Amino acid sequence: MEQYKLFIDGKFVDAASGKTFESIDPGTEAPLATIAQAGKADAEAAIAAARKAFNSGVWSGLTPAARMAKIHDFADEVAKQGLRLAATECMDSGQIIGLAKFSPLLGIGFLRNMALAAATKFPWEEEIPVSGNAFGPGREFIRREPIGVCVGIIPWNFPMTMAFWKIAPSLIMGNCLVLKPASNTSLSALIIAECAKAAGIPDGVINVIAGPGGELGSVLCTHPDVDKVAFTGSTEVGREIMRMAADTVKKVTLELGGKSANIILDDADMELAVEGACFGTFFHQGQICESGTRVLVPSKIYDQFVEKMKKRAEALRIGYQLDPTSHMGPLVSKQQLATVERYVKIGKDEGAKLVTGGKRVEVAGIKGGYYYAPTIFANVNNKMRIAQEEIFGPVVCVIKYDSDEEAVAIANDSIYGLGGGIFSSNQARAERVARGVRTGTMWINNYHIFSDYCPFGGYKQSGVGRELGLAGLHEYTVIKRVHVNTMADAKTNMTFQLMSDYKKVDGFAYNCPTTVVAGHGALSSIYKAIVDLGCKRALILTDPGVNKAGLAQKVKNALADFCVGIYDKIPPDPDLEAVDAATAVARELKADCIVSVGGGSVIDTAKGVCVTLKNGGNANDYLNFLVLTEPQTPHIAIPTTSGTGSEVTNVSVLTSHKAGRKLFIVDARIMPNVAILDPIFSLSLPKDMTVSTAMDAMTHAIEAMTSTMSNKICDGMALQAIRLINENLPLVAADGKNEKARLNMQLAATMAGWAFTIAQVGLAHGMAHTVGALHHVPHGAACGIILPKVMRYNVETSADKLAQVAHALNVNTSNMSDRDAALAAADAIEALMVKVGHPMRLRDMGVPEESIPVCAFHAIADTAVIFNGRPVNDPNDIIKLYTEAY
Amino acid sequence: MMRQVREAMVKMTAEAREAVKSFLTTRDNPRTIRIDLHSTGCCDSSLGLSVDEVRENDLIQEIDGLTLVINPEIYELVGEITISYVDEKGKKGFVLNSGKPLNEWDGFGTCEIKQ
Ligand SMILES: NC(=O)c1ccc[n+]([C@@H]2O[C@H](COP(=O)([O-])OP(=O)(O)OC[C@H]3O[C@@H](n4cnc5c(N)ncnc54)[C@H](O)[C@@H]3O)[C@@H](O)[C@H]2O)c1
Repeated sequence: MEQYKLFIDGKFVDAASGKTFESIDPGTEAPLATIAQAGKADAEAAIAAARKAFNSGVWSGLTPAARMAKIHDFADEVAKQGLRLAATECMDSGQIIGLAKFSPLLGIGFLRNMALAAATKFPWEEEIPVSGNAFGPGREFIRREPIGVCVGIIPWNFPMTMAFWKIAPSLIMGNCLVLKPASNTSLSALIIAECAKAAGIPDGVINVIAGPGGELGSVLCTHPDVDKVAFTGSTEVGREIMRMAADTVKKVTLELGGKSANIILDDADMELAVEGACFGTFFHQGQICESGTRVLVPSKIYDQFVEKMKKRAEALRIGYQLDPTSHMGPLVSKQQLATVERYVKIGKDEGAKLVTGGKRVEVAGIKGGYYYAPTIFANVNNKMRIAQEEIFGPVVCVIKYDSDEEAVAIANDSIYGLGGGIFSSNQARAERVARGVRTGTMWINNYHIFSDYCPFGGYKQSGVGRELGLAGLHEYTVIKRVHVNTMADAKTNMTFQLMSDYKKVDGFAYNCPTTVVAGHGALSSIYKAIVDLGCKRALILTDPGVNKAGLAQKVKNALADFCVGIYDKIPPDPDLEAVDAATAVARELKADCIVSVGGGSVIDTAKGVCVTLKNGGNANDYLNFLVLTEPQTPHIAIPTTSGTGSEVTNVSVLTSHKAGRKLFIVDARIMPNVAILDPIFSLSLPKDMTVSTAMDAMTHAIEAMTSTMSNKICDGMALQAIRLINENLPLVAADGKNEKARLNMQLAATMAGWAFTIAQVGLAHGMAHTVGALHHVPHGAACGIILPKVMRYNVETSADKLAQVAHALNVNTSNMSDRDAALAAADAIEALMVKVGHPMRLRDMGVPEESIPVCAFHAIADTAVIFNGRPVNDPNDIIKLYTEAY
Repeated sequence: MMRQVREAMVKMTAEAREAVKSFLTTRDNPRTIRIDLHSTGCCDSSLGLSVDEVRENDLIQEIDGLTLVINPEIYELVGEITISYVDEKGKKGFVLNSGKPLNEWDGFGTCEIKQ
């Protein structure tokens, strides 16, 4: 009789205890071989060998391509042993030779397929272009790395295939493995170990230990050096393994029991369905976890179907497994035979009708063997134990149903969800039914078909994780996320600064790619701009006021044939719905370019349209920070107010009614491609709008300077904007038609936009947003009223910056301290506002005094406040500022 | 009906006896517990417990006011049975070991009493 040893650290060895056990042929009950019986010490030695091999990097450190080369050698050694493997498998497990002869071939194919997938298709490294964190910019990527030491514990039904299912993915992904085959059927795994050795797989990378599951399992599933356990077997054992693995938090994949439904629809091809029902349950004596052991048959064809199944079952030839004419061989053991007999008895007691089978079979010329006849129960109620518990033998329950819905409900009435089938001549209907069943695999007009690239695994108590395919390979890796900061500087790290008193972000990236065309006659440039953008179908977006002023028509004329329409339904302070409505029009007109003509409301809406037009869906889908990865629909902005700077900024401010506030799309990708600053577009802007939008721009500029994100490029933009507004606002307030002053105001708004889009704004904006949202105070007006109060508050931290502001406001600061100059800057802002007739108090803007505390609480939570140069932590400070502005 | 009362067919730890009794008090106090082969899905079946009545041919053993029954063929297959009860580290339930282990996972998992 042959003798097999354990395979540990590249050597075939006896068990430490010297114990052996016998494997028997279930078809004859004759002993087949003796096998060294591993115990605790051997399991520990195997784990140690695997750990040492893994840590050394001899295997885990190879490239996937280098591992593939070794796996090819391994597969070739399996090929050399093919006949021996097949014959041994057949005799050891009771698999008919017709099946066992394919197993080496399938194993070789699986090794080769998975090695190739790992070397060519598997995403070992992946860039994450959008991190989702706006505060910690950096390169973000993930690496997938081998887990470490894996344990594979496999059952006796498909010993060789199961061995390959554990060996291939674990090794190919760079892990080391300790494999424990089932005690009934350990031989093929030990022959595969010989192949691995012959192929030169490094010592310790694969170890095979045979022996009692309970004893070895307790070591393998609790040992701290084991990183992952992959188990195929009974749900009761799997549950215990999961529990054991929990102590050291091992990764666990489990492939457990099933009681799968094979649903025959009333339009099924009868011959095919009967064949599928029988193959689905009697193949390999029913000892397959995904067997379709509940055959669901419509009432109207039930009797006929059962009759045909009976005929087919009775025609199956049961014989010794090496006999090539056998359709079915023996069960694996006398215990399995006893279990089957027990359940058949239970089925009879429960009142199911035994149609055929229900007895042992004697095979001519053989004394002994665990042969059992294919057994059919009819009139089975799904609540019966024979329909709920997996028998793991050639026993099928045929269950009656009346509608597709009922069939799905019966199929789902199980603690398991592993496999399942549908037989139908209507694929659409079959797929509909398939969708409703909560199970890991569904075969339509087929059964028991496995494919290397198709994942297998369970829903519910049928398991955790997947085997086969890329999904199966993923289960043998862990993910490492790598973040590489773009700025290696403590003083540029906003998050580190949460634990520091230094709140200024020193480093910065300035990325403002909008082309600005400015000056008298600048509108003409649009004709070339649209061609340069590669577009032919521009949709003009505007609002009724701007349209009425004739401004959109001017743009249409300038675009000549490139304009597909004017849409003017954009409201002030636009909401998400405004974007969606405009997008619908743009889609219908097949617009390839958006031209916005208006103030911030129109330009912001247009930004949203560019995003939804490019990516599909609704504006609400994109309310977020820095999530866009590609250029959006081209956008040419023509501002008609001189305030928001939206023509060059990275933000679109949109009202969400569900959230009850204004929210943002913030992304460099929404900065318009081209901004045209032509003074004819603001000549018609009424005086009050002229003044309030100017104060919006002024606030952008001053807050950009005092923000924690301020920097010298933005400071330069801001100071020039302040200077231009201070000089030109009185001029345009006095004479709206002063074209030169209008152009300067436009330039100022744009520069202020450039300043704050990088440097951000601060407390005045937060407070203005709040009174805007709660009491509808126009944004520019609110900014203006609040700005000087906040400037004084910020003197504490930003006196030097505000002194520069004073200088830009033409205050003579020559003999002043920074502090005095800063305070003088605030006074100068107020003086400017008085001069141009800007409102000076919140009480005049409809804000009730008693609302001030509520406003303060909202304001302190506003995003803009995060960036205020002076940290704002006390709502009382804000109450005080609102009161001053009141 | 033949009553074959056996001694030393089943051993129960004190914890197991208490656990069975406290289970039974919550369900109208039946007294008969069957030891049987249970399949728990895929491959290896195991021994399990269920509430039942005495049936024809059963082997019967009385322990501490409880009646334990088993089909003689199953007894023949598995031999003397020990029932213990564990409640530790998240592992909770009855553990059944047998003189002639059903398979290599004998006593590894736990079970509850089935109705
Ligand atoms: N994206 C940004 O960077 C940014 C910055 C600040 C504010 N905003 C947002 O911008 C919006 C406010 O924009 P806004 O202040 O430019 O005002 P607006 O676009 O809402 O326009 C206000 C009114 O002025 C009219 N109007 C505009 N130009 C005109 C002209 N030349 N002649 C006659 N009438 C004219 C419009 O018809 C409208 O009725 C708000 O929703 C605000 O939240 C955006």
